[in-house]
Amino acid sequence: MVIKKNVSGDSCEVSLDGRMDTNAAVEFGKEMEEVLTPEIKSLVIDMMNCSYMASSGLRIIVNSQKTMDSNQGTMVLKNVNGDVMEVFDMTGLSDLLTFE
Amino acid sequence: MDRLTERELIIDASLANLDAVLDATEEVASSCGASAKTVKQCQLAIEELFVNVASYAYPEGETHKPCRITFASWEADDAGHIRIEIADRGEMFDPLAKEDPDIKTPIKDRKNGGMGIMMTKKLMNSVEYRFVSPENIVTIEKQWALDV
Repeated sequence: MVIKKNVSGDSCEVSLDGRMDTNAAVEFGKEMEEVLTPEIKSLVIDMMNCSYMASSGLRIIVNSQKTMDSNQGTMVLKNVNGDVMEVFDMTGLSDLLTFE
Repeated sequence: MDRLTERELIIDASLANLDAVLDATEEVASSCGASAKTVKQCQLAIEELFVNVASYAYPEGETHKPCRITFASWEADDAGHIRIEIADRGEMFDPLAKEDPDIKTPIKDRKNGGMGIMMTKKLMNSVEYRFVSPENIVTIEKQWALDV
């Protein structure tokens, strides 16, 4: 899993490339904790090249949404592919998160 | 029963071994015509069970965490089948006993835990637990149609 971050002003874009298994989720969690300072008001996570999502990865995404809510900001998940969307569906998260 | 493929992994339930578990799953499922999507579903299901064993089956700080995983795939009646059995030697614990979390729970009230087992149940055709001293054994099975 390659995790790229790009912070510009109060916006942050993160792209995930590869398999979000539990080992990758540990890294993802550390990266998000580091990047999501209270100043960040807009978070976009680009998942175009992520085709596998374990529950450990979902937890980081849920926690990131909680952080953005407390920052009074927004989080958008972009380019989510079909197999990963099914994981969001089966856990009810597709109704609670923002996708584009 | 045709094209039987079997593998066994005897490993420590440590995240360092997760890749080996996922690789073996891919190899065994693919050998029986599973699509890339089905392979991923099987990998997700066994990952959730393996990570639970790695995280909770043994006391904190325990370095020896025996885990035995057996894989079998075969063809029968124009369908591919896979069965994966994961066994640990921790205290007797049925991971399926707990009720699934409510998927309508709003983000702010979401707690960690329970999602992985729920995913495993939804991804597989069957998930069963049994205790055969000294092992907790969870067996998952999935079938898929084969292009004949």
